Amino acid sequence: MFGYLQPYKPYLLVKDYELYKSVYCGLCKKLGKKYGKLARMTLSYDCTCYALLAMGLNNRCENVTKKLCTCNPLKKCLYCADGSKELELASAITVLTVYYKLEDDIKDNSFFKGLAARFLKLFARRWRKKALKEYPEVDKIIKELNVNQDLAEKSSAPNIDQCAEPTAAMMKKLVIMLANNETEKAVLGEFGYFLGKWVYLMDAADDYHKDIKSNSFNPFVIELAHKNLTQKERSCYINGLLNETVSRIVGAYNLMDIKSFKAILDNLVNLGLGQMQKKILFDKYEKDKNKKGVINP
Amino acid sequence: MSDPYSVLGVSPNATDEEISKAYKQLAKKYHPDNYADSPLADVATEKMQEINQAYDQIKKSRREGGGSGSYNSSGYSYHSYGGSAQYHDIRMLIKNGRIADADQILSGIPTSSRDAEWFFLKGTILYRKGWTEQAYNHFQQACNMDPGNSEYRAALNQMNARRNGQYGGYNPTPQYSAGGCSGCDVCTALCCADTCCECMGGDLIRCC
Repeated sequence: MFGYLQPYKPYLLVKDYELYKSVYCGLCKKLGKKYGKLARMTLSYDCTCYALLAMGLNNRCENVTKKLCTCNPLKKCLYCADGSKELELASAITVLTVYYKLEDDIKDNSFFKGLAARFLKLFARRWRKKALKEYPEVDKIIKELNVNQDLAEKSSAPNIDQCAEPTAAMMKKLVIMLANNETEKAVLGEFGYFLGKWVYLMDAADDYHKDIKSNSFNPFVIELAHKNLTQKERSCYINGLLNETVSRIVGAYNLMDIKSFKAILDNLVNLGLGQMQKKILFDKYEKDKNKKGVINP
Repeated sequence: MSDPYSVLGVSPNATDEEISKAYKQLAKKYHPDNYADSPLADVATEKMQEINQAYDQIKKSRREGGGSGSYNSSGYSYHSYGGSAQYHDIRMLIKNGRIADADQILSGIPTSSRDAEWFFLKGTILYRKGWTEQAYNHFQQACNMDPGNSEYRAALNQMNARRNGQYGGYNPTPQYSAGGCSGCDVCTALCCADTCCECMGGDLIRCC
């Protein structure tokens, strides 16, 4: 995954920021413990977000303990004291996403370009084996992504919704796993679907120029390349699509029963997503104008 | 039923004002406008009823014989409009959440006889499915074919509002004049200058 799901730090209380870090470090530690030291490199913000959501829905306590950092023996880090089960699930999702990402990279690139991916896959294969044993259903969900994405991209006239569908459907299934009853399934399903869609659209928007250069598939290139838009017009159009998606995320989120970590998740949904859109779609292109340091959500 | 205070997220010692503020905030959150055409409309309605009940209960226990004070007791209905007979069944299917069936019947209608309502209903189905970009195109098409129809227009306007970031996300158009000097700025600057002068024994604006 891609690291777009982050809370907006300036509007987070210090205590909530520390709590957020404790989950981040907790996931890092869990990855190291379960899959070996190298697996810690795969730690991502998106999976931290997933862990937060899982813990928030299951009312894990918000206590932290201070222990030595697993990466830097001179530093002490905060670790969340509760939520081992959720962290395990999140770490399985992390390594499985990485494994299938590598598999996809190897398939898309020539032998030499894919060499690094091939090398890393040697390790990832072992992680996957372990995760598969404990979470076969998660493996299945993530495996489907690559297959469906290929199908969507190769269809005769791929549209944006169609291309976003596999990622959205994957996220929907992963989030539904956290539901306890039918109503929650409906709400979490909608939340997950649009969160996945948002992540996919953000990634496509972020890679727009890179994909034009390397002639890779990108739904926005197909949709917008022939329209002759300026950078600003293009950003505004994509921003509109993302806002629409966020409105559905917020709608579902408001119906969710978040029991702990609420301040962080509120921030992430209500501010974090919008601010990430700003960063990727607008700030990137406006660096020379002196608007950079302004905190104005 | 669970504790009405915890439903509204306030403490039992909260003042009436705090309670009505919390209630209004929640009512705004669960407002049917936010869930028009969403598959979660039922869940939102349930939540709305829950907070209505909680609010009524608190009011009742605090003031005997007080009014119900319900913020939204009129009830919103989003599917009360007519539409032509041909599409009646499809509207019913959509209303009952049988999206796949509705979609199948719609797809069976030949391209040549697809009118504005067809595009509107197809858009509604796509919207439910989460295919928002396609839904938008279909609503647009419906409005182009029948510009006078308020139902189609409302659906398109709603989507435009969402795109503009009114329901979350980011709005790139700045709400303030960037770096400009408004009338307010001028007044403030003059007041400051006056105060500074007075500190030093002088005066810029004589009346104050």
